Amino acid sequence: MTARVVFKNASRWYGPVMALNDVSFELGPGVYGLLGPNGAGKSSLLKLASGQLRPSQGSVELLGRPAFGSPEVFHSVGLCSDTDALFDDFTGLQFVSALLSLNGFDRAQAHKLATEAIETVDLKDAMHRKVGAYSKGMRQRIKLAQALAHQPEVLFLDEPLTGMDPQNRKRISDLMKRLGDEGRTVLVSTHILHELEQVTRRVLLIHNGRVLAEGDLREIRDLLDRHPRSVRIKATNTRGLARELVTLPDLVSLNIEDATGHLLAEIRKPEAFFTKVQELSGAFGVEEMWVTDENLESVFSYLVSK
Amino acid sequence: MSTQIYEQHYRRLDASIPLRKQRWIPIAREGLKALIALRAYLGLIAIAWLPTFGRLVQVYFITRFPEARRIVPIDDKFFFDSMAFQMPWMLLMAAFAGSGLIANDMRTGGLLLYLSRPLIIGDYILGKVSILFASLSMVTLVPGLVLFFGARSLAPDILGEWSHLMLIPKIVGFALVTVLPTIGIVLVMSALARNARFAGLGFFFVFVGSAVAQAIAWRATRSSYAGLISIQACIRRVGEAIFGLKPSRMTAELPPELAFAVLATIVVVSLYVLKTRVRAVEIVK
Repeated sequence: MTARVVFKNASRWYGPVMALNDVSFELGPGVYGLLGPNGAGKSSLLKLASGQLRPSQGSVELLGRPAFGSPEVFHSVGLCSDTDALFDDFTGLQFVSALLSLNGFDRAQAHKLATEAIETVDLKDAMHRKVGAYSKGMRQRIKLAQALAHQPEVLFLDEPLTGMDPQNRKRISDLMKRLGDEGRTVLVSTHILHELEQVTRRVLLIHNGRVLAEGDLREIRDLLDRHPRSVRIKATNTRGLARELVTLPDLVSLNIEDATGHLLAEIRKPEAFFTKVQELSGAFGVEEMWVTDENLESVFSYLVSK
Repeated sequence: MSTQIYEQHYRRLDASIPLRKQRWIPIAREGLKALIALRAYLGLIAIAWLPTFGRLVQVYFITRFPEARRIVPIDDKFFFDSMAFQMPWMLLMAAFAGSGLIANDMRTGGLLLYLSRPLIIGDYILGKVSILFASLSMVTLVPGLVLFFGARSLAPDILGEWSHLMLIPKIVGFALVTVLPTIGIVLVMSALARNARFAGLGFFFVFVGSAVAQAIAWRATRSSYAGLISIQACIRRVGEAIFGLKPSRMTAELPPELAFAVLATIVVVSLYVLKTRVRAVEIVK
């Protein structure tokens, strides 16, 4: 039995800075979460996995070949990076089609596959608009479309849900789950636990360049539930939303930030909270919701100390 | 440490699809499409063609008034001067079309979009070179050839002989000598500056600065070898040799082979810098 993504004692350092330290794991079909705070080494791990970086020590294999220096594997690999670089003067359809042409598809095939991928991420209505005019969530979705369009076996998704509204988060989470069920290998990096929970139970927890924990997300989550987490919500009717949320049992605090008008909540059991916000999102115009990083950092510190 | 985190059994995939050929073509095509969508780009090409049309009108008048041939003969120098006159337009075009070609991708991380596809850095560079080659040829090579064929059809009595067809390789050769080092310099600036404006400024600084340095060195030494400092002087000297013309005063003693060696070195060094500099992932040390 062989795996699609294999790290064998892989390390990567930039000068004196150790980005990734002696990491070993194997990934087969299914969805895997790569969870860690900012600066933990998630992006370095994804760049090593996707062949953009050469490991300083150890080896990284992708589809049976060394990940670095094997461009042919990208026929079967899709990458949704964390950078916001898109071809802003292109329409969504042109953008995805242009990238498909780099995979060797002719114009008709590229157009067909691009349209399908754009439909998959629910951007069909906007596919003839210029990418430069897209909102942050739409840009995330078009990036995802270009990663999916050539129907790869392996997908690397770096913070794919950033900037999306709750409905689209749900939609894209369902999509990732479906891709995993189809037998593809999907490695999703995030620093938001709740996002992962909707997609997979298999996670790699990374901190300071080391794999800190691996395995079932629920076990890790149980540890984390002892610590309240901060959630920031951007909505058009923040006060109305606050009135609805204030009665939730596991709420520790609820504030409206003067400078931004965002709603800041501290919660112990976030599952019910997130479900409630999702229900109310239409009525109160919830645009974005994210777990603030600082708190996750403290959770990781807690795990490190255990 | 070994952390096996899957349970499923599955078939091994060996990623055996080979890389296809001409992987740079889509990069060049999409880049050119993006440029053609800009009015300023098309406007610059249109303006750069005006001198060529002026020359064609000149040829027309010469066919009408044969005595004018004595003042403006249609010979090798006519074509050399016409192409040399395109140099400022070519520099403007290089700065406009080339300064952001790599800088923007490197600044925004857009390189990842390319290099997460089945192609290598060489394909990326070749694609970018092709975009510039096409753009610069539109203001050097193509006007030169159009002028030749236009003049030949307007004045078959002057340019109708088979021997005049030798002007075609001369025009192509001079255009390549002009365009290739320019592409190298502007792309290196684009890769080093990571900002299109700074890349454009750096590019002009190299061209104008080297010409100024040559003028100063020539005044101080009166040596033709001062021409080796200036990219434009080297281009011009090689061009004069290609067209078999008498060299200009400041480079009268400069061997064209040496000027050509300077230009070839610029191209080779540029390719080396691009190969080492262009990375999808920034390495911070």
